[in-house]
Amino acid sequence: MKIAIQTETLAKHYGYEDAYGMMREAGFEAVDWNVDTSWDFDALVKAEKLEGLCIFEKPIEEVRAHYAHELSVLKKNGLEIVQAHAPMGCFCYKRPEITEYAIQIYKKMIPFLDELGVKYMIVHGVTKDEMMEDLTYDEANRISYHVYESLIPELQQAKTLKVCMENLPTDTHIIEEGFWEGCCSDPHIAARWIDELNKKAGRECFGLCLDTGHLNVLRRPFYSYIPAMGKRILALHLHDNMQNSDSHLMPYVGAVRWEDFLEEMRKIGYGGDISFETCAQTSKNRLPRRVTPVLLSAMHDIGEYFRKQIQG
Amino acid sequence: MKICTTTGTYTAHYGIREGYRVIREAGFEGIDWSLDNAWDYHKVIAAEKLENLSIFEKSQEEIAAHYAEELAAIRENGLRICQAHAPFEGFCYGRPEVTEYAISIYKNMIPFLDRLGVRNLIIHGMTKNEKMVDLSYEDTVRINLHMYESLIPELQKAKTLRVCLENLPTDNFILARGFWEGCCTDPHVAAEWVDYLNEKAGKECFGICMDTGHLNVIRKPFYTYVPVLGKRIFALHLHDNMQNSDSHLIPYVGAVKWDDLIEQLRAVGYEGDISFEIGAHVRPDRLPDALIPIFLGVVREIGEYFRDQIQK
Repeated sequence: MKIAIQTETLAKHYGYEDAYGMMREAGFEAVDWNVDTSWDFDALVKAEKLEGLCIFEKPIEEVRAHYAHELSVLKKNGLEIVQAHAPMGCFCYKRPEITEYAIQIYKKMIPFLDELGVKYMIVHGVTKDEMMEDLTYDEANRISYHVYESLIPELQQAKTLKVCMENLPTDTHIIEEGFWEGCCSDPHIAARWIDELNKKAGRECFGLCLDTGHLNVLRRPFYSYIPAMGKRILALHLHDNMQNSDSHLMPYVGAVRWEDFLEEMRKIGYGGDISFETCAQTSKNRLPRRVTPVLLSAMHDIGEYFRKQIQG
Repeated sequence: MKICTTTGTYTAHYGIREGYRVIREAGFEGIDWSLDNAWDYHKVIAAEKLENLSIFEKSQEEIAAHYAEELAAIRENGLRICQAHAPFEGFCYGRPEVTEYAISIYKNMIPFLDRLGVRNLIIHGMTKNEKMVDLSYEDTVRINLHMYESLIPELQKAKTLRVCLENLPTDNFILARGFWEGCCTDPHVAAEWVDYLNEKAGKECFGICMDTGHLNVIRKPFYTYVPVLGKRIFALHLHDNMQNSDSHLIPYVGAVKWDDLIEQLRAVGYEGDISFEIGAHVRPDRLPDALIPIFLGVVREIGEYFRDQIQK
């Protein structure tokens, strides 16, 4: 059970050497690698041809060369990549070719991350929102399921890598500060998908990355979500908010009920990593450089506390 | 320029000796003594006779005896009492005798705190809210000035102690999570009051305690407030919030623009202390015991950063 933190926005704001050095000095043992920056979704939806938009279109040798420097800095700082975030979204309303493009990218990411020993790649599903007038809830679910199912052949060949779905909220575009449940926010549906996909794959290729902030904006208590998912929870995105915005702040500054979270995780015997997704908290726009290590260190200490409490 | 925190949360939870030890071990050098608990406002307004409701009704000898143990603990931990918070509210709608009672208490606090070398006693003014239908804005000005003016004889005798007015928001009882400007939030009015009172006293007896969270909920930028008050700002209440509640959070987790604060305080040559009012956040019913020293340590380090930046 390693204490990890996502690599963005620190890597973007301070460069690899400074960012990964700060993470190591704060005591982090691992990272949630933000490979989600490997495409620009706005560029993707504007492109006439879906080509030349992501490094993962290239052969694996070129991908390795592209990330060689970053990987060497991670290694030098003793930071293990325990999970990675796939680029999002894999869906654009009325443009099904974007979903197929995303699937091709995810398929190529799997062997690359697997050879690095990464355990989990987090892939967001599709959520219907109010702007997608002709899309039914069932259709949105069918597209998400199709994305995950398409990855089975690559996952069957992977040594370590599994794909995690993530519980998502979606903005209401009508009410300010409003949210609706999004993909995998209903634990019964998420559990059913994972079980079906794993059965189809013939092994455990899929699980869930539980996002604490996303549950919080939906007002969903941990005790109604975690027990239904149980051991299917393989990874975490830990962050806090005030329930009116998906703010990605450090724990204990918002309305997340952390003691409830720890109790439920202890009960299901969670054995994955303690991974923070607190990009907005450590962003250069919010925090001066000098104070950044102070908050990183506090988050690491919170991680230690979480680990102790979960392990009982 | 000492780095301070309020005390009430910690002495209430840990007890006096342990509470001050926790504060010292986090590295704080001074305190904002939480004497606001010297009366229980609900009891004051429910009482038939305004008697036996506060230790500050007693003689100076009895007051000194009452606080002897606490003062010893403060001294043993090397903490200086830089500022103290007077009990509030000094006002009850339709009951002018409550204000007269409050004045008598504040008058008795001044010599006690002055003997201890305290520099600033923070006393809230009163603000009209929507429930006070018969009260005009001019009435509130009269009540506030009467209260502060009444303290002049005691302040003229004091060696170190001054009284600070504080910028306050007031709840909007109609709009959920709404606020209105309250007492001393208009810097021009606050400056006029401070100058008027000091002229009457014949010495610098009054100043402002600037509360960062209170300015934030009423969306008032520091650059419209700090320059107008300038050297009249004697003390600080530093805390953060999301602009929808006076949450008293640690800095850098909310919407307060801290860089602007630093810049403006540096520009006016602020020389007072760096005092945090984060007891509603870093408290045992919000954080596990194990994390309280970690959060207090973070706040103290932020204080050092603020001090260095303001003194630059």
